[in-house]
Amino acid sequence: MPVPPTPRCRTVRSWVSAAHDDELSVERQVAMDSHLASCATCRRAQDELASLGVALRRGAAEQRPDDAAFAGLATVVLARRPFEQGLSWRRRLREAVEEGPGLWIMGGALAATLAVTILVATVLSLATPLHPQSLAGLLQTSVALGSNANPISLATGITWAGPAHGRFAYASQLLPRVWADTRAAAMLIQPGPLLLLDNLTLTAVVTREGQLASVKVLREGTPDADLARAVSRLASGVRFVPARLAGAPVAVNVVWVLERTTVHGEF
Amino acid sequence: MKTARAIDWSETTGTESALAERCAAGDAPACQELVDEHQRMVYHLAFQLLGHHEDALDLSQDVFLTVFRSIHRFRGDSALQTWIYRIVVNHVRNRQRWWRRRRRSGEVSLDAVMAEHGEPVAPIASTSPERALDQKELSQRLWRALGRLPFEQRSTVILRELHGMRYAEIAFSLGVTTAAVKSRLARARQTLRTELKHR
Repeated sequence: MPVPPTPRCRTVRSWVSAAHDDELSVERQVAMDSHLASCATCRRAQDELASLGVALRRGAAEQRPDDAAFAGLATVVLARRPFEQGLSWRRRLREAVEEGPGLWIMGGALAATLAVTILVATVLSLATPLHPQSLAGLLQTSVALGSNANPISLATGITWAGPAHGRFAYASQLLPRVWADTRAAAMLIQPGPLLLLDNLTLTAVVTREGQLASVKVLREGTPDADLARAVSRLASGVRFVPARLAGAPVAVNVVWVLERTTVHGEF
Repeated sequence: MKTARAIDWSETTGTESALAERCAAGDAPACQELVDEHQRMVYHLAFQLLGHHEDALDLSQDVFLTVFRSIHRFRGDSALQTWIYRIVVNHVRNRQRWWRRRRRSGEVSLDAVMAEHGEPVAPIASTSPERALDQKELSQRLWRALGRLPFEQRSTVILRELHGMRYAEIAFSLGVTTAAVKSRLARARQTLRTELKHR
């Protein structure tokens, strides 16, 4: 940094301490001397600093013990030295800590890292669950296409076969099938009075685990909650081979349209 | 007056290295020589930082034992004396931490020292008794103010004003940069100058 030929008082004041300690560069010292020749205020600051040093040294001299204070030091140290050679590792570790701040810094950094890790883990564990209607929730759901929360729609007979294929595939390749063992239950045939329905629409989700969920029933075009509950109860014993996409089980929406079907059951 | 000559790192001579090597090898006369040469400096710095004779003497012993245990690590990148200064400062700093942990002392007990060593050891050269009394009171007040400074500032002032160390040497002894030394000195002196003005 270039030294101004005529430095201001503020600049000179910042140099006074270094000048007092003979640590000022020659250029700055020359500029400072030039300024001091015409500035009584800065000279006073310099004098105060000099007086401070004198007073400190005078105080030290007043307190200074004479050499008799440490007369036996060498004898004691040299007598203790052989016994100090075989120190335990704990004592050596303490010495290493005392000799410098390095171990303190390393230990502090380690402790801080650990504390931050625990804090982050705690915050994450206590965080409010993702709201399904939030943007993040929607994004997460869209990413998990084919999960039970975001089943694949089997619309108009075809569906997307996944990015690995890059093309559309027929739904027949994906449709879930009823396990042969539970096919009887799936027939929904129970003893009791016959119920004749002209038009029955049933929507549901066949989950990844092969269960029927989210059952809704439209009876003659009108939602029928009681019938939906009854169908759910009856379907609880039904198991499906889940639909598969790229070899992995996926949840799918299914729609059954029944026309002029006779259903035996206690609805 | 500067109580110690300025130390130049170029003074790290073959003599010092040879002495260090002999001490590392366990040579008793070399260890005696090292203690004889540096005990005054070690004791006085410990006394100035701690303010108590017994503590300073005890710490001086620990310092030399540490010196002998770690002398094999002395590489000559500083003068031997500067390297020992560093050990003294670290010992004092850790001892004060130890005190604080046990609530024995939050600050260096310079007030107690002044009470203990209230009367000057040597008469003060001055033109009149009144002036001598003023100077004595001023020095005492300054030393009390010095004792209230944070340890890092206090040690910096003592190493500079009483031991005549250069900024680079102080920085090495305290394990900080020269910029930090300048900053600490400036802040400490500002505080002490304020004390000086309130006379």
